[in-house]
Amino acid sequence: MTRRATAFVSRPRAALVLAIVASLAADAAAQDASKPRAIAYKVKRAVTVSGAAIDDAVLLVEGGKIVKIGKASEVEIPDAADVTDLPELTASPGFIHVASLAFLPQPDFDGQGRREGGDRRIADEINPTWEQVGKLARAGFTRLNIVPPDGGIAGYGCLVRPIPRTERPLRAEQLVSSRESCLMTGFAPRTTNKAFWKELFQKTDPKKDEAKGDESPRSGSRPSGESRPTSASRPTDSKAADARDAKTAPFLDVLDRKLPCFLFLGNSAAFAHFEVYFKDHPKFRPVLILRPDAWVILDQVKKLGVPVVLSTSASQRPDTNILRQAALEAMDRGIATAVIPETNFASGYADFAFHLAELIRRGADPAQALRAATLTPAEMLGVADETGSLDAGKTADVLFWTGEPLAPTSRLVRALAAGAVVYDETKEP
Amino acid sequence: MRSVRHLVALVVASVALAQDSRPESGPDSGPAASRTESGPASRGRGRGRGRFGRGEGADSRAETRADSRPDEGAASKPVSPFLAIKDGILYPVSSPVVRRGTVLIKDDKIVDVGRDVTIPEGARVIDARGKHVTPGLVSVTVFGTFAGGFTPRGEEKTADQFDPYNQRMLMALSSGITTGCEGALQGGGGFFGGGGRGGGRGLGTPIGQLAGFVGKHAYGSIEGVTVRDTAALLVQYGAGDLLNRGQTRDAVRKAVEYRKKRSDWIAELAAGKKDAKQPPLDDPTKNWVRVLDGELPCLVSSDDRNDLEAVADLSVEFELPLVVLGANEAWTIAPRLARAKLSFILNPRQRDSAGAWNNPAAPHENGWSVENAARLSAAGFRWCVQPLSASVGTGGLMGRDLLQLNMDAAFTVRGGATEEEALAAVTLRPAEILKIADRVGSLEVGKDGDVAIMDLDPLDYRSFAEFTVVNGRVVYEKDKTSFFNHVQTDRSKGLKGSWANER
Repeated sequence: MTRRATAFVSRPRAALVLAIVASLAADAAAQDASKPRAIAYKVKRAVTVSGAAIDDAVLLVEGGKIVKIGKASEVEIPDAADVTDLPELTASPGFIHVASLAFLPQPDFDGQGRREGGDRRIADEINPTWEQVGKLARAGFTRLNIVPPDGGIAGYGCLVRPIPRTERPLRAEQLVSSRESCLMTGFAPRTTNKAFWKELFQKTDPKKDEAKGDESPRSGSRPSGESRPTSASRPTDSKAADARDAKTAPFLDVLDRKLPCFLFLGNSAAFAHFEVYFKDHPKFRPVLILRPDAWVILDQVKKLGVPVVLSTSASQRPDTNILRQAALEAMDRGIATAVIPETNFASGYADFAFHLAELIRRGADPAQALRAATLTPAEMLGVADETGSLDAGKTADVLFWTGEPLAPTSRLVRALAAGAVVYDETKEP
Repeated sequence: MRSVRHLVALVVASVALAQDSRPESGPDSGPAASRTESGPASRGRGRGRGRFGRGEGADSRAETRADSRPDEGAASKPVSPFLAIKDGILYPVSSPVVRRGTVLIKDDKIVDVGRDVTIPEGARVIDARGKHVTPGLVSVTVFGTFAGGFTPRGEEKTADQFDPYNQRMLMALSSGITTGCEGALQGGGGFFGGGGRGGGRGLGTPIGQLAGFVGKHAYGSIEGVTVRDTAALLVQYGAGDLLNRGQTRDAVRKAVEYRKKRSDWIAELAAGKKDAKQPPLDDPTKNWVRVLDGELPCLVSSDDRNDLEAVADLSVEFELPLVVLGANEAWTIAPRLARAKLSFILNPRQRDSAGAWNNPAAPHENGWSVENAARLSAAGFRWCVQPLSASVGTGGLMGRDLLQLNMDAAFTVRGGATEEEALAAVTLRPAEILKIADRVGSLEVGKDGDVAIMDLDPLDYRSFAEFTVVNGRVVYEKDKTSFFNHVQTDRSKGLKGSWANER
């Protein structure tokens, strides 16, 4: 921010603006001046993901958003805009990591616990460093959904985006764009975990309660401040409404389809055991985060009609040398699939584009593979109106490549997150 | 289809790089390209036949179908509750062989068996003409077929940890093994981690411990897996172990006394004495009462003839039914053991671990004998066999793991047992020993729909299971599963019939 404001001072027009606001508070001045000018990126090709690719394209970016996108011959570039000419490069939407553990100390997902973390927000726990942020941007991630990796109701995930590096220490809030992006849950086939989920469903699924009839005396003394605004539409006479507290509230929102939900299932056995709950509770249809061994259950997943999150890893079929790639097979079956890197650490994200290329070599449709890392995760998180593709009105999360985005020989040379350059090959040390 | 897409992907990549498109080899420059090309997909060799021969993509697809639940293939049509295994050579085990008969299963139970079976319209039919249809095999020991080997702790239940997609389970099914007991017997012989000879000499071991559970290999479903939550009471009892012997006998004596009190109490109730109180029962005694009542098997590991005599004495003293595991030297004293209520789990292919088999310098017959099973039969005993190893895998040596359970049975025939006894030793006998014969072990009306359909005689070393059915569900098909689908021999022509064919 500071750097950009300084840069603007040298321009006459900006200097005039600065002069006008100089009499006001210094903070306000800095903010106003920092509003970036429109930039027109002229590229060889733009792979929009939402529609057909555009050759000789122009992306007009202003105020962190894509204002216009189209063929160079059709898009009018305003005089006020700076033109960045990138005739060799291809633009694509930025990658979205739909379930990342970046900035967290925990190395892996854990479906084992029986946490009731409905009031837990992972935004309060992340501890990012500039170095990590740089790595994410260099790997092409312009948006990440950080999730608490525990079992049970693990808590709220948060959406973060990389920002340009400054000299000041990084604070987590600078990255966070949503503190309640989703509810993260987990399950592993254990007696204790089953008891947790059974109790949770009994407490929260109104359908079950209606069937049984509400015989318990209603608590009229519940303080009104306790219920969240989102619960206003719920029938107050249902048991489920009484079950609403800080811990169950997000789960009730999930059942009402007000909040995206992810369920981590540690292996295909976990899915087999959880299938029972899916049968009894048709309202609960979370996005499943599955392991590479999920190839064995994809038919059932398809029948269930839920989206899945899979890494690019291939899993070796036990006792044989046959490799199966669940992400590929899920896409083949027409299951909505988001693909994530094979590791959970920011430092392991670097090869993500290459692993997607491998997925394509093994038979994935290139367009489908790119969608699995951009628009599909945006849809899962309910932010597809905001990001995930190159469309006018969406946030300017753009990657610039030396060739087709996921060709193994292509290189990422520049990344924009909300219009700001978060990675530039030429400026790397 | 996939190769076309592959080609398209490569063309796209190549065009973007303004290079010649060479779909045969892909983009040929850069470390990335060479890395991808050395990947597993290029490992395929041979053509069409073997597991490794097919292209990666085609292979994945074929297998996915086989590994998913075969029953649910046609989702649109309502599936008939009936499954008929038609016109096979039936081995009901509990009754004589039927040359051409049908097994009819409704839902998960057998509803008809025999020559004249009416197949309801719409029933799913497996044509078993010329094939050998046996009850699903029962192994008194399996390892890792349910969830890769687990030990339930605290409030955890075994059933909550099943992995119904466990590949080892599928492998067991490829040998027709539909029911197994996990966690009571360890490895190839003996339990508590030790060999069988001189079993029970260790100090400080529990005198009676519940262990194991019995389950079905219901691949692809967590329903209908558990048969018994607790498999057996394990006991150590040897001629040289004075402490254990004393404690065990005290415990059994208590149970015998309780049963006396209990029958008194029942008599009092029957006589109209309403205030008669049920005698108190503590937990350790309860297990022994269940053993004496014939509800729970009691397993004792014993190979040495002195130990076997001691075990027989224990059985005689308390009329205690015992299952002897190992019993390598039982053949030397089989008639003398006949006084006791014993049944046996034998290791027909395992020589004596002490290495002293029939040492002529010893004062009496000793060690291992191939005739063990036959001599026990002659003495009137019932026995089953356990495999050389309870685990299963494609590694190691073929014929030395769970997959060749039928070979262990066949080996008793080499020692003089009959084929009928041998087949029973992997079906009905283990079911009886595990106290689950009301559900599995034979093809009888009312029993579970667990069936193995083999291409040759079940005791023939050449035979393969072609279909395996558990709880009325086809859970294994040889042709659709990677383990043996490459075996394409026309077995109806090239091979001579075995003993059953000639009968």
